[in-house]
Amino acid sequence: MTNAKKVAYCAMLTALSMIFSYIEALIPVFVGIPGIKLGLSNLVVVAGLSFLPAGWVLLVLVLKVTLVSFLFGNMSVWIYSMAGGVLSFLVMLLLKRVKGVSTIGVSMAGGVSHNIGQLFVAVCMVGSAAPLLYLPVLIVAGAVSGTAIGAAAYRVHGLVGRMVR
Amino acid sequence: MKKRDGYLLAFFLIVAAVLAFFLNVFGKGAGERIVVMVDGEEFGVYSLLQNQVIVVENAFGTNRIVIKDGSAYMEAADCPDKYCMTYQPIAKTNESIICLPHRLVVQVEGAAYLETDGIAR
Repeated sequence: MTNAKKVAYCAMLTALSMIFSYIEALIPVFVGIPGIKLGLSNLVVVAGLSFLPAGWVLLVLVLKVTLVSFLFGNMSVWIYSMAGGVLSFLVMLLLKRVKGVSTIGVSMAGGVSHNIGQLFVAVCMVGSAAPLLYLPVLIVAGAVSGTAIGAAAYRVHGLVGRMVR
Repeated sequence: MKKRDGYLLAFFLIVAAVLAFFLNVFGKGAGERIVVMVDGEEFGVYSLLQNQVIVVENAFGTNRIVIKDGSAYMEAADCPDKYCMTYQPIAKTNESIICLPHRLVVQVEGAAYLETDGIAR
């Protein structure tokens, strides 16, 4: 793949992630469990990892988090998203090398580590261990949303994988 | 979905279940008071036995905590997301209401063994 193509894909994925974030903002949050959502925009990171070099995917991630945070959120949203995003990126990168784990498994671990990263920031922010009580709920929520995102990425790659060369 | 994906899912679910079990069995008891923390510093301690309204006002914003019939809840907050107001009322030890934008934590504490010597008194 030429560099020009990589830049183009990188830009397309970033644009797509912003649309996903917008769509997600329209979906109401589940009442009663604060802060749990699907993380639709992470689809571009999971899908990107299947055809772009890791460095370019990281670039997409940083652009996505920064643009989305400043469009729909603020500075603290940026810190939470960045912590979750980078941790899940590293975990997914490692797990991709493990044989026998598919895109779904990689994305599942990504979802869980995303929530753990954010929880860690929450603990630092409030200066109390109280948020850790949500760890079990967040692990399950991360696994569920990660699996959904992984399944979607798998389907997407099956459909457009041949076009991406 | 491959075989190891299933193992991974099982692993996450077991870890979550074990954590939830220990947090619920050993973490929760009868609550006695709430501790309000702002930005890691103690703001105040309030008895759960007494109905009252606590207003926390600082540079981060304003929160109104209400204690009624032994449990506490967030009645009002001027944070952007208002997640703290969706929490169920808290009454058992270690249960908490967290307002992330305002760096505010309301946590229930129980009777500490060293402080209250109920039997001797």
